[in-house]
Parts: sequence; C-alpha cells; structure tokens
Amino acid sequence: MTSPKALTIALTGNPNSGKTTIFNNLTGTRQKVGNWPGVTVEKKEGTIHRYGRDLKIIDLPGTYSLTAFSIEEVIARNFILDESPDVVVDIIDATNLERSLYLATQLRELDTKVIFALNMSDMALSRDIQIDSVKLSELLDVPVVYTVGNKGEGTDDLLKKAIEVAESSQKPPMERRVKYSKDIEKAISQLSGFIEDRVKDNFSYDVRWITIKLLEDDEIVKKRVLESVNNQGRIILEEAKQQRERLTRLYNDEPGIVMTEERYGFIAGIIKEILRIPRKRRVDVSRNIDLVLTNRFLGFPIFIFFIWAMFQLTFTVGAYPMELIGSGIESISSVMSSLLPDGLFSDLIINGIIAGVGSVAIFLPNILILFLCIAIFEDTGYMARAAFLMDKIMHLVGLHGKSFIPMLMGFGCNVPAIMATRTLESEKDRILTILINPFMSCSARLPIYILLAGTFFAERAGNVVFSIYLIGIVIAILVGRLLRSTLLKGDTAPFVMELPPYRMPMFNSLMIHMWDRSVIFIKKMGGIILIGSVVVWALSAFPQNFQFSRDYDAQILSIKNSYQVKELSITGQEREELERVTNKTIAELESARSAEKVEKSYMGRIGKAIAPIFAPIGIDWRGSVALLTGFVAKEIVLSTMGVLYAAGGKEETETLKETLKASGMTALSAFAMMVFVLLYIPCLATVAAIRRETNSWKWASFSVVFNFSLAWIMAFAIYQGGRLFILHFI
Amino acid sequence: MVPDLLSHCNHGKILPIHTIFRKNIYVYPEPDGRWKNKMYLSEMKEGQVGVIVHVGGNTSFRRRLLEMGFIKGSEVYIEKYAPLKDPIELVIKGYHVSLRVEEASHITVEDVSKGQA
Repeated sequence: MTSPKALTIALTGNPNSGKTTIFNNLTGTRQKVGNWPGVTVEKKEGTIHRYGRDLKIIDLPGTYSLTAFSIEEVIARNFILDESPDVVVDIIDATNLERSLYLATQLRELDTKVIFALNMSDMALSRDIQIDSVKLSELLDVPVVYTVGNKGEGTDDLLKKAIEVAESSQKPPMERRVKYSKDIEKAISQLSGFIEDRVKDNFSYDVRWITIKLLEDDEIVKKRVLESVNNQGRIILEEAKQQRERLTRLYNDEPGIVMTEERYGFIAGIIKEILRIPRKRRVDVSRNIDLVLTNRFLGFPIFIFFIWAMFQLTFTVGAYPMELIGSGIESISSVMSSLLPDGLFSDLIINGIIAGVGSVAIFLPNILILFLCIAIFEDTGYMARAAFLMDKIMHLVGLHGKSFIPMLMGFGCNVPAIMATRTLESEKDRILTILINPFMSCSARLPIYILLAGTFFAERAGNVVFSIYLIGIVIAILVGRLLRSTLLKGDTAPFVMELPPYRMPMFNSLMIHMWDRSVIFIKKMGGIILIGSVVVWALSAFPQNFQFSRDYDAQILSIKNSYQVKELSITGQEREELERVTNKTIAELESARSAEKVEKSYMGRIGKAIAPIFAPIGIDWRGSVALLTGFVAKEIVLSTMGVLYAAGGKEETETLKETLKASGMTALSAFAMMVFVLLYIPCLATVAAIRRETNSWKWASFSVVFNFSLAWIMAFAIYQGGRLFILHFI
Repeated sequence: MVPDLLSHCNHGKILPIHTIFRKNIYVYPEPDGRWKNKMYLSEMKEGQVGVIVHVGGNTSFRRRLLEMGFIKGSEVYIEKYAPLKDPIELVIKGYHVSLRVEEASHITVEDVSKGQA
C-alpha cells in the first residue's frame, strides 16, 4: 500500500482553553514557528509521523468566535475555508463549556469536519462539574474526546479520532446545527435559494454559511461574494441588504445581534441537557489568589515587586553564566590567535568576528532569563492581571491595558514586542503601542548601560540603570499622550479581556516559549550582528597603508634595546623597577599607535565628520561612531566601543573601563549617552518590524526621525543642564 | 441600536429631533413591574449580582460582548473593582472577565442581589 498523503489537522479554540499545551503535546519539539502570510500573527505548525501517517498539525489563533472582528478570527476562519484542513479539532475548556460552545456552534455552521476535545476535564471534575459528553456528541453530531492537556492525557485518543474522522468518506453532517427562529430561517432559505438560482455550483463555500454571514453583514464575506461571482454579486448583496433590513424592522435590532443571541439560546438548550454544576459557589483557588494579587492595597506593590524581581533575577543570576561565556570566548580567541598566522585574516576573525559576536553572546543568559520570566507571567495567567491593574494608567496615556503586555515585552526585545501588539484590536491603539515601544529599553541596550554605569557610577550603577528604564517609561507615556492627541486621535478599543484562572506553568511549554523568543535573538546575532561586526571591523581596519605621525615601532625598539643594555648592569629591586617602567612605556606607545590607527581609519574619519552633532551632548567622535553602528543593532554599540576605546588591546571589560575613564568621559556625559542610547533610532530589526506591523514606511521613518530628535534634545538638556548645575552649585 | 438612543438621553431634558430621525424612533413600554431595580452595570458595587437587561453601545462592541456571553438574562457577579477603581472584574457564565467602567455604563442590568442574599 502506498502511504496516503499527509493529513492536515487544525487546532482551534478559545484563548486560554489549553490549545497551545495540546499542540505542544502533539508536536513536541518538532514545531515550526512563523507568521501567517501577509500578517504577523504567529503561525505554529508541526509535522509528525504517527499511526503510519504523516500528520500536519496547525495551531490556529485562539478566538472566541469566527466573526471577522479581529485579525485572529479572520485568520482562523480563512484557514478553515480556504485551506480546507482534513479535520478541525475544537479544544473546549470543560470548565467554561457554555462560552466555548459558541465557537463550536459556529464551526458546525462551516462545511468542515469537526471533533471536540473536552480539555481540562480533570479540573471540571474536581469542581464537581459533570458533562454528559455522549449527549453532547449526539446533540451536535460531533465526536467528543476527553483530554487533560497539562498531564498529556487523551492526546493519543485525540489523534486516533482525528485520523479516523479525517479519513472517513462521510461528509460533515448537515443536521444538528443551530436552528434560528422562524423569520430568520425564512430569510436564510429565501436568500440561499436566491443565491443558488444565480450561481449554481461555481461557489466554493457552503451556501447556508454564506447566507448567514450576509445576513450578519460580514464585510469580508460580502467582498468575497463580489469577487467570486462578479456580475451576480451585486444583485446578491442587494437582496441580502433587503432581507437584513426586513429583519431589522422585525426584531428592532440588527440581525447579527439577534443571531448571536439565538446561538446562545441554542447553546442554553444543550447546556441544560448535558451540564450539571454545583449550585453553591465553591472555594476557588484562583479567586483566592486574586484576593491578594489584585487587592486594592496589595495589588500594585506586588506587581512592582514582580517586575523588580524579574530584573534582579535577570541581572544578578544572569551574571554567573555570563562570566563563564565570557571566559569561553576569551579562550576561543586565544586559541585562534595561536592557530592563525598573524595578518589581516586573523585580525578579522579575532578582532572582528569573535570580539563583535562575543560581546553580544555573553548577554544570552540575561535574555534567556528575561524571556523565561515573561513566559512564566504569561503561562500562569498573571499577564492578564497585570493588564487589569494597569489599564487605568494605560488608558490615561490613551492606551489599552493589553498594550501593557507588549510594552513589558519591549524590555526583552522590541521586535517580538511589536509583533505582540497584534492582540490589540484597534488599529490606532496598535500603531500607538508600536511607536512608543522602542522607548521601553530592550535588553540589547542593557550591556551599554551596564558598562557605562559600572564604569562611572560604581556601586550606584544599579540605581542609575533603573532610572534609565524609568526615564524610558515616562517618555513613552508623554509621547503616547502627545500622539494620541495629535496624529492618532480616537477612542481606545473596548477592554473586554478574560481573566483566566491561574495555572501552574508547565516546564515544557515554558521552555518552548523561552526558546522561540531567544531564537529571534540568536538569529539576530548570527545575521545582522555578524555582518555589522565585520563592517565595523573593516571600516576601522582600513586603509592599511598610511603614515603614522610618529615611528612607534622604532621608538619601541629603541626602548627595548636600552632596557637590554641597562638590564645587565643592575640587579634586584632596581632591575624590577626598570622592567616595570619599560613595560609601561611600551604599552602606552602601543595603545597610542592603535588609537592613531583607528583615528585615521575610515571609521575614525566618519566619526570625526559627524562628531559636531554629538559634541553638544558630551559624546566624542568614538562615541559617535559607536552610536552610528548601533543602528544596525544596539548590541554593536558596545562592541564598537570595545574596538575603538580599548583599541588593539585586550577585549576585557576592565581594560575598556579604564580606557573609557581615561578618554575624558565624565559621569554626566556617560549619563547623557545612556539616555541617548535609550531613546535614539530603533535598531534595524525594530524599524523593519515597525514597517511590517504598521504596513507603512511612513510610520517607520517617522519613528526614526522622531526618536533621533527626541534623544538628542533629551541628552542635550541633561548634559548642558547638568554642566550648568555643576558649575553653579558644586 | 434604536432603544439605545433613548437610554442615553438625559432624563427630564427636552431634545428637539429632526423629522428624518423621528420615523426611526420606536417606543416600547417596559413590562410592568418586571424591572424594579434597573441600573447600569457601572453603578453596581462589589459582591452584587445583576441580570442583563440590555447591552448598548456601537455594533462591534455589542457583538463582542454578546459573543462573550453578555446575553439578555445572563447573571453577572461583580467580583471587584481594580485598585484604581477601573476596570471592573466580572463573573459571567462561570468565567472572569474585565470591563472598563465606561463600557459597563452601556449595559443595563436588574439588580437581583437582594433576592439572593
């Protein structure tokens, strides 16, 4: 027997129904995370081989319904309609049956094979919720399987059932769908008769479904009807409009609303037959947790504590593996330098690639921990509480509480954070959240703060870095208000957000979550940063043949010679003293030589050319070059500084710190530079994400210009203001 | 849509209405004595229970709420107000959902807390 073609299984369900957990159980690590074409809602799919078949499993976005209100709903619906998966698995939260069945009844209206997975059935049982699944299966004519996602139970049954249904030759049952009231059914049959008369069989969708959607005034379906049956489409839409108007008069309400109510009526009938819930309100763990976590007095302190703890964990615990990676990179670098013959190539490898990528790679532990924390917030359900707590504040800025989640993620990396704004329904909310997101200081900027604050503020470095983050938040609020009252006027979207029960996060899913996001960072390291480091290296290594102002080599040689002569005539302490002085002089000469080399390189020339722009904010030409290269990726600022300041010397942070101090930079100019780094042009990847998410170059370039000007003005105010203050008061 | 217009008028004030709108205004008598404690959801206090009478607002807002179970006759429990008094956490159809005070003011409910206490 030849092996049959791969079966496509689509998973659908409400948000928080445990869909992702089941998807993880099914596919394990064999999953691919990408985007849906044209939009940036995450698309997850995995191909597995089970029971002798290739199975392609698609995780559709979580939705409450299949109306075309949010992009997620449109994606889920279009996938089912256009890709026609072999079977759709609707994950139903057993503890939330009534609402879950709304999506289920809508799925039954589509021309597709459906099976139900009654998920979290153990939770339902422990709450004394009894569901008669046999009856449910009978009433809707859909196979039902029990699953407990977080324990991995029922996954095999689900797969077997899915394959069985997918391969059966039976058509999806037409009966046992929602029956609407007499007048609506009449309108449906009239309109569908009208459509069938005109288009016969060149219609690829279920006519009843199309009719229902037309009565609901679904814009997307209207457009599709126009496209697929062009000359007849207009007549059909006109007929639909008349039916809709008739129904509106009849019910004194829009047909879409009436039909929604009737679907719930139909569900109420099912619920009555299959569900037994305990009459009295039981002690609810989740509720008790919320008594504390969203408490009037404790809610905010705890929230702030969690955020503080997240940063502490990221930076103090992260410091240990950081050291390890740092020394690892150093040893690779020394091995390479002993293996490779001296020359341009070894310089490229060691000072270009290893130094550049290495200075970023050591922040991988920080980023892993940060993403782990965010994944814990998400998986436990705390994220929704954070949005609940913050909505009032976010609303003052003209934003939605849900915007808080992408804003928080912005502390990790602005790219996935900007992608996460897709959860916002209103376009204006989304653009606003995207535009102020770069002010949330991403983890790539942190190494720069750590270096500068660590060098110039010593033990107060922690507070200084914290204040930088705070400045970012304040700026975001102010800019948000400004944009909301100028370019992006309008109301915020309704704040209808589910507060799911708290759940114990699963190790597996935390790891997958963390990994998915860290991969973005690693890819960035391998791609943009690698290229950036090489470009920066090349700019600073060339031109090779220029005249040094002094003959360093000759000077070094003469010092060495004179040492060798004197060495013979003295002993003991004197000799040690002489050796020390000689070595010091040689080191100074060498570093002066590398500094001059950089100064005369292309990089130095560019830096000097743009230096006048940065001079008023206390940044010298080396800082200017570093900032310029930071446009590629903010991480590069640090590696450029490594090359420029510690020029030619070792890539150790200690050396860099010393050179920085020696370079004439002060605490004030370091602070101004940190603020500048915080606010200026988002990195290339972020600009690309802004352009993709807003679907306009206009907003992307706005972001570049606006942020740069703002950064300069702020840094100027801090540097010049600070100087005046010091001059007059200290 | 239409009943909503009226519910948002300030009581006691006279509003002139243009003839082209007049034909679109319908007046419904409320069933006598059926709703004794009618109020907006936003006026309810923590721990109170209401039964939904009507959801107002614009179409997409109404649809969204209806789809999430804010159906005429459903029971809503006021779980709590956020620390800053906005939004409100509600329990409806056995799950928790949050709604802004302003949005809750589009929802008319019948306070049934007394009967349940």
